[in-house]
Amino acid sequence: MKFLSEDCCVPLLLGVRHALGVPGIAVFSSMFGFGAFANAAGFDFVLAVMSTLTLWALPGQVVFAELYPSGSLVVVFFGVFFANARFFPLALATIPMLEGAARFRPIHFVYAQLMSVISWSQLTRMVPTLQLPDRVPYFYGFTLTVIVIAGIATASGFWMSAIVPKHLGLVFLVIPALYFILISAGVKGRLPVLSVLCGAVFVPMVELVLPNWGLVVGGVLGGSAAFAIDHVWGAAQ
Amino acid sequence: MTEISPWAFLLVSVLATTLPRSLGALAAGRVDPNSRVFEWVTAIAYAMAMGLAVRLLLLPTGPLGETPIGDRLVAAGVALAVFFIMRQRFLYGFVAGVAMFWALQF
Repeated sequence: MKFLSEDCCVPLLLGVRHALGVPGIAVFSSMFGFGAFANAAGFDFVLAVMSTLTLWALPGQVVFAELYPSGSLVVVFFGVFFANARFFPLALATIPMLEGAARFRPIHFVYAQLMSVISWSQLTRMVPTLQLPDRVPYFYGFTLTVIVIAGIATASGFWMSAIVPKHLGLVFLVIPALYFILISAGVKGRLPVLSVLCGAVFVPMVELVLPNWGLVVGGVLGGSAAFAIDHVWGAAQ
Repeated sequence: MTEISPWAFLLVSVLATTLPRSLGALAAGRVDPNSRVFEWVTAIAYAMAMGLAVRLLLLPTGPLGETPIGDRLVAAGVALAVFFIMRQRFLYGFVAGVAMFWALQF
């Protein structure tokens, strides 16, 4: 098989090795928190782990767990869709890095399903040092390893939250909030910063008026307000 | 809770996740990722990510909702302060925030 040829093994193993460093630690800690969070939200063990392996995007997973008690499939669909909508531009940016300017092939669906923000970020850093034929095996090695880490972390967080003292269990539950605060705090550029600020204001405000819809409606209103402000600001300059 | 199977919620969530991923795969190489529509979608995604964090901190459900709001805000403040002091290194801010929240729960 071409996938297992000697030429592919070197970048594949390089991807595995890189995934076991800082990216793996970041994925483990955040997904460990999600496992505890899912337990508190009433998920069973299999549902918690499967949501990591099938959704493979922490914001969408946390939205799923947060909105699941609302009992509305519509609320969950739109909440998860907007939380993960960034995968659209992310796929646009990631796939050309893997295959150059190649035309669409069905395997691109697999790349899009496996990718995450962390693998996009890693690819962006590695592309200058990787030959084009090495990028796909590197991507497989990296992203499959972090997915396995995420599954193990979710299972660990789910189990551990049930057996550790209460104060430690509470720490696991706060992990997703701190994760998103820091990810949001690290954004760069006028529009992303405006979006983060507007989201921080609109979502809780709408949540108080329309319980369970705050994330979806507040997110759309906040993002649209930021987009409008950015547009006006840019025009004024 | 709800009468609908939790697996139905997972299926809906998988569809909602697969849709933007698949559309992105189909459009890769054909659509300009710098267009205004993409900027708008990205702005909503950023707003939702931060809104989710604020909602988890201010209006949490479950056992986290039983903790004092001050503890959650102090932990977030420490995480942010360390994050920026350490030149935006995620792990330092993350560990500092988690450690602070743990200390406050003793």
